[in-house]
Amino acid sequence: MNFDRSLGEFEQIVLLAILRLGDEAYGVTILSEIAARTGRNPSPGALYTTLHRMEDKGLVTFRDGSPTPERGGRAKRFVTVTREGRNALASAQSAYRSLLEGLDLLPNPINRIRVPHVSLLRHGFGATNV
Amino acid sequence: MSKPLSESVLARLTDPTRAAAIIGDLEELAATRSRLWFWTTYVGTLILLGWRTPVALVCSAVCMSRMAIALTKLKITLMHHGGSWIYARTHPQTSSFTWIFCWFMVRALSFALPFVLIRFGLRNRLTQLACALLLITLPIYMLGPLPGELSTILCVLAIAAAFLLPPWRRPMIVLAATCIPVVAMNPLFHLWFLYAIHIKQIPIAVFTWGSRYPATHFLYEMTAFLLAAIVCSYLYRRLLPHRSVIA
Repeated sequence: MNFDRSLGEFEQIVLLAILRLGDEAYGVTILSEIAARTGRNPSPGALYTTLHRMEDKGLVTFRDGSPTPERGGRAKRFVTVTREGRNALASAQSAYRSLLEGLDLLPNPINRIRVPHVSLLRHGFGATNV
Repeated sequence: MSKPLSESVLARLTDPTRAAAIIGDLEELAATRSRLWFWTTYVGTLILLGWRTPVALVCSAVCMSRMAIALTKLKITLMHHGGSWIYARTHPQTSSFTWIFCWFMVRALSFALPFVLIRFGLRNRLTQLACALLLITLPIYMLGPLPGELSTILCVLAIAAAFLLPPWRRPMIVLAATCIPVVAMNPLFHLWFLYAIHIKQIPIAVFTWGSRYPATHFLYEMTAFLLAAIVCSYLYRRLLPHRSVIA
């Protein structure tokens, strides 16, 4: 695995959530998606530091949306996963799959083993999309 | 009222675009929660985004003072074991330049390297540049005159190359600007000391160890370190923007 593009667990969760949300991915929706899919409630601060770090690494890019009144007239900042981000995620996921392969722990590992981001993966998002 | 203030404080730690988006998100989330939630989350976000700078400042100040003590001990050891070249007895002109240049470089980089390492991480060009320059400069403290002078030449060439090569130019500017307050501190302090003794006729006893001297020295050092940290953070934001383009 490339050292420069290795991903932490939370980075993978955030990238998967962004990919699932598509064009609607910004801070609030990413937090909601992670909470809904994984049962975790990460703090906004943790999400922003991760997003900023991934932006510096070139894994995600941002685009400004329109200002809205419920945000005090501030624009949403939508996130998109770059090709580098997709490659890094695919690499990390293949490492997980490789480690799971051949383990006779449960009948269907992808549904049962408690891989942290498995619930983000199993609802239609597969390696082919990465 | 307090919104612009909260946003401007956050903008100091990141940038105005990011700060506006974060505050916007917190406002949106707070609509279904409470103002207490907004402020506690805001403070948590501030800490998470800003902890690196004060920690880097303290660590680099400690590292520099430790390094100064270690290098002074090494210098004394070398002098007692035939290291007369340190005082330029063999090649007066070049060795003096070598010694002064490397002394300033090591002094500045022993502050700058830990600071940028903690603040920006090992993969950052600024950290890599500081690390390379320190490694090139260190031999003057450990080896004989020839390697010492060779390391000076290499260091000058590395600095020139960094200024000439586009990917390294901006990191070099930020690093140089960070180092200037650190290296300027020492001569400025001694000039002020001479001024106080000879012009203002302040008794030397006032500045001796155990009296005000350590406190004054500490104050000068902390001012220089703080200035270097501010310059580094400001120039980094201005000259080394994020890779992504905001559409």
